[in-house]
Amino acid sequence: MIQTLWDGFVQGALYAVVALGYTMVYGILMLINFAHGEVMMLGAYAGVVTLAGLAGSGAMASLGLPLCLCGAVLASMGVAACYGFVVERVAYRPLRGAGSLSPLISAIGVSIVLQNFVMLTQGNAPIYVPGADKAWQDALTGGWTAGPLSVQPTDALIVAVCVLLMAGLWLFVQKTRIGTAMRATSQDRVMARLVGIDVDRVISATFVIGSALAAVAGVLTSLLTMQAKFDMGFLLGMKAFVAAVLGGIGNIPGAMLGGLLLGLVEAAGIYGLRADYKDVYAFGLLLVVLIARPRGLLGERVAEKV
Amino acid sequence: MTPFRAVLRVLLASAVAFAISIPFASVRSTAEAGFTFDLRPAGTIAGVVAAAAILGELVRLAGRYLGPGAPRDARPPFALPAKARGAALAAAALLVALVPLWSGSGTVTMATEAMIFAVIAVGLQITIGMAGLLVLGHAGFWAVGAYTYGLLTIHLGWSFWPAMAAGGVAAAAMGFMVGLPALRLRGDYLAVVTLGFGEAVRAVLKNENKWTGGDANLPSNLVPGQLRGVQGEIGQWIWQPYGTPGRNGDYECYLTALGLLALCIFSVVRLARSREGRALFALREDETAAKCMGVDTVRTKLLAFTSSAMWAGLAGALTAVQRDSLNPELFDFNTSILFVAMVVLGGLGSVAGAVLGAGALWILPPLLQDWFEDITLYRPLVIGALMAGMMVVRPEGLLGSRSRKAAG
Repeated sequence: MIQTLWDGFVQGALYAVVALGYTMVYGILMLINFAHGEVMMLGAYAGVVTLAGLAGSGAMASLGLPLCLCGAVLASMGVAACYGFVVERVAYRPLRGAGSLSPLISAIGVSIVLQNFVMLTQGNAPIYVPGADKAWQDALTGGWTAGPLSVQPTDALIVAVCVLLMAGLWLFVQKTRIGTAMRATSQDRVMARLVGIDVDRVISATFVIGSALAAVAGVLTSLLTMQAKFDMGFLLGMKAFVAAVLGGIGNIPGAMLGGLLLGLVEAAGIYGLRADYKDVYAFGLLLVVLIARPRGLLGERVAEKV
Repeated sequence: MTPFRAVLRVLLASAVAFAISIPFASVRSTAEAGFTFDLRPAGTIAGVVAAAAILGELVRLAGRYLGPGAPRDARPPFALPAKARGAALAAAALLVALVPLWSGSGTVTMATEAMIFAVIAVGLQITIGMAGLLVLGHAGFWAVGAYTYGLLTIHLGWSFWPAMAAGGVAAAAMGFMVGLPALRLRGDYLAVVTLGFGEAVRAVLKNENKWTGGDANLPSNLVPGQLRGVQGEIGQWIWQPYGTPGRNGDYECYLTALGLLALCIFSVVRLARSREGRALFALREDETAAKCMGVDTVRTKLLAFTSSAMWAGLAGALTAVQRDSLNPELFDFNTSILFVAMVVLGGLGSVAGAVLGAGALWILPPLLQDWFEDITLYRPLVIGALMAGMMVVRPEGLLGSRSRKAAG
């Protein structure tokens, strides 16, 4: 029981990091960025390929695992940030102010393109994290046991990194100049433009940051499952979106809370109800939230602007 | 604007495509040698993107001279008077009905499938094209219709027509229930709710295999060979004079699909011109304004959901007969996306566009297979690119009417 909940908590931390990207974009553009899950998948691929390359060339043994992990994460962040930037420029920016349906359809199209792009270039079999490498085995064996609970080093790493990322993003949004601009833009885009904020740049920055965060989550996800697959992004992305709605969309602490809660709810469903419906619980939860409290747990009621 | 700008855009697009596709197209990690690196695939991608960008620029150019300008409800120049148009349509339908007499059974099967998809696409046009509500789980309604039909005929021994009607009713009821929580929401939450609905339907069909047949690890087919058992009741008098060309029962399916499509087109066109239809369009353009003009948004949204799900359900029943076996994997997310793509490609809000889109996306790929062998592999990629590209370059679709949304 406790073990299942802990696994759910770890998964929830990953949902939370991905949910941040959805919630930031939604807060500013009122758009569900369906491609966000795929960007996460791209990040996971970039990270795993880097790791496999380092292990295969023997560099992992000489550099040590922590350095290699950092390198893989940086590579994946860079790649994902590029994709986030390009996707926004190509598929969303031309559609700004074109109603709400066209950007959504465009986003789904982009998501399918990215998914199939990776399937065609990297194959539809998963690629594996080089877990058999000696440096890996040395660094990541063991773990801690406390009563019925056993914590793997990977789990601990995931939780630690996710907490750090969330705290970092929170500080970034609250303290920096561009963070302030992001908050202003999400409150009122027209007004933000009037006071001299370059809204297009803020939106690009939002996509770049969200994508880089998603890339980290992607690499961590593939550490959890020891593989990356071309279709890993979509469902995880949708669940992360549910997490963002649960916490109150557009609200950064809400996304974190929502992610953790969603992970726990899924774990409870798998443990208490049936495991073969595990992908459905998230959507059930979404329905409950939308009926009972559409603005989410921490969201404020926003009057519709006309 | 100028040709110079267009050329610049094309060059930029292919350069960016080249740069960002390198990490995935050119780099492969191998266990033995670390990386292998090959720039050629990225170059190919850059070439394809350049070609697509040139095409996009041409479409944009064409759109500038042919596209908007024209008022929304202007009759097309080739429109016939109403009576002549009715006669022409009836003649065309008769001609299509006679096609199986001289074509092979493969063609009949494909045409039947295309018509079934056209029914679904035209039905989906009500929610996506008219009301502007994005549905990402339409395959779920299709599945509800198909499995309702299958379960009723196999387990309870119902005959074709009542079971088909029941399929439509079950799907419509499901549409009503999915629509209910969606009423209070903006359109984009709805997309995710319907996506979840589609996934949930598939999970139920997969896991409750006591009813839907098969083992959990095998594709859980509804017992094959039994669905055709009721085929004789579809209407022996229709095809008896001609003999039965091709596989037994194909011609009945073909005619039923044609009839259903005709009925579907007729009623959706009527709907579009009715008071309710106008309310749907108003909802798409601006929900708040529509509400202020006295449109009952709750009723209108539910109407859209229920009727569009009903058409998918009826089509599903026909699919069950036509395929003779059902598998939950047929009704997955990609199928839902295929439906959306049919609607988007043809044009939002256009019934003829939906038929065109369904035909193009279902019939073209097999036809092109001789010329380009890997087409099934690349089909999803092309569909995705079409959806995104269509929205950016020509959001109204091939035959659609341009929505005049004020920038906001």
